[in-house]
Amino acid sequence: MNLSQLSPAELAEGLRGPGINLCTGPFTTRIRSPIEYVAEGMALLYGNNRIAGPEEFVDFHVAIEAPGGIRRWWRRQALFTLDGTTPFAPLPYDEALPLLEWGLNRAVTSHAHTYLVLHAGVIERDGWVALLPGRPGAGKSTLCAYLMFNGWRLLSDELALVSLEDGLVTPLARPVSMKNQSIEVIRERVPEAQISRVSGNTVKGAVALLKVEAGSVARVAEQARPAWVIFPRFQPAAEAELAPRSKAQALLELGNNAFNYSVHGLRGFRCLADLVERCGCYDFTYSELEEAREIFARLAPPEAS
Amino acid sequence: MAELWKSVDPSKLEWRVWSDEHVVYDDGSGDTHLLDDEAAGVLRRLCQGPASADQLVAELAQELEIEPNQVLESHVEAILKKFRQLALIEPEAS
Repeated sequence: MNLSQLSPAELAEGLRGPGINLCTGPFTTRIRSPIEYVAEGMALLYGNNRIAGPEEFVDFHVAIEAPGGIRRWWRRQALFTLDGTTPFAPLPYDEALPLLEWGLNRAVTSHAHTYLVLHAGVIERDGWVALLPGRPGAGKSTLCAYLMFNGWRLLSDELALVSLEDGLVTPLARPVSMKNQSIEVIRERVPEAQISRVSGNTVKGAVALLKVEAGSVARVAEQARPAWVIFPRFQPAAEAELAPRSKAQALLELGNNAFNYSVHGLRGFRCLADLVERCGCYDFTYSELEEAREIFARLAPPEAS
Repeated sequence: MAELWKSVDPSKLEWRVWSDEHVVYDDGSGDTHLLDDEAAGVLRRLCQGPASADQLVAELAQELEIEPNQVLESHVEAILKKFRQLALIEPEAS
């Protein structure tokens, strides 16, 4: 069953009690939280996601709860736990939803070593994937969000799960984390976008989460092959430009952007080297999303280029 | 006697080449390096056997069809220094 089939009361009760087994891509996470804001957010963002039964295998056990002590009553906070550990300091209560997303990212990047995990947005069209690696602020989430509503399937705005066996990318299809001005930019340009309430003062600035469009969630089991590695860079007032980048430099930059490159050693190197070998590698500078859409629409898959 | 240099275990080095850019992964250290043509040439030469800086300069000059000169010597010295820092080469035990 999907999460949207639970009533708000059932969802809240599940989260307060034994937990809800949320399926996101190849992972199942048991989430517990007594915080209403988390239940509201999950109802908005994860309605199309499958809920696994209580007997099914769970990869991660997470919770978002209020820590004990005086903070329970005064300037309430939210604490994330992952399999009994607390990887982050508690954050203000109204950041509980972004904290859940950051925590789910942490679960994947610290445990999912069956993949080479790159810090990259991932979108797909006609069976071909564009990887958008980039540091925070490069504009990859905004680009992913806009293109998701303009002909591309979203696999992830943040984490590329690359198979070490065959180089295919496995989708996660989790909410897009939007920051600061990009929240309003997407609201204006995509009126149908479903966006969570804004957590205004996080370490990353204002943060809101965008629900993944239904088609991308429905196809979450479909892997796809990378065809392009595109390093985006948002630059105010810049004319959109797609410029070739050398494969050697792309490889090194991808290695720097990988969470577990060193874990995989030679296999990780071969995986990245094969990936850039097969892909067109580019730097992409942009300021206007519509220009970006046009340029991305003209990308030719490897066979035709 | 001039110091001889050798590469780390060549079987631990995995190479990929795209036009004039060479990427070498050192499975001993887990480091990945981007090298230009000349640096890659020096490292590949040292993978075949030990050589001194003078030998490398002479061989490089022959390959480039020029006389050995100060600029080439400085260049080879700089490459060897960098390789030592990156632990890609080590002195040949005498």
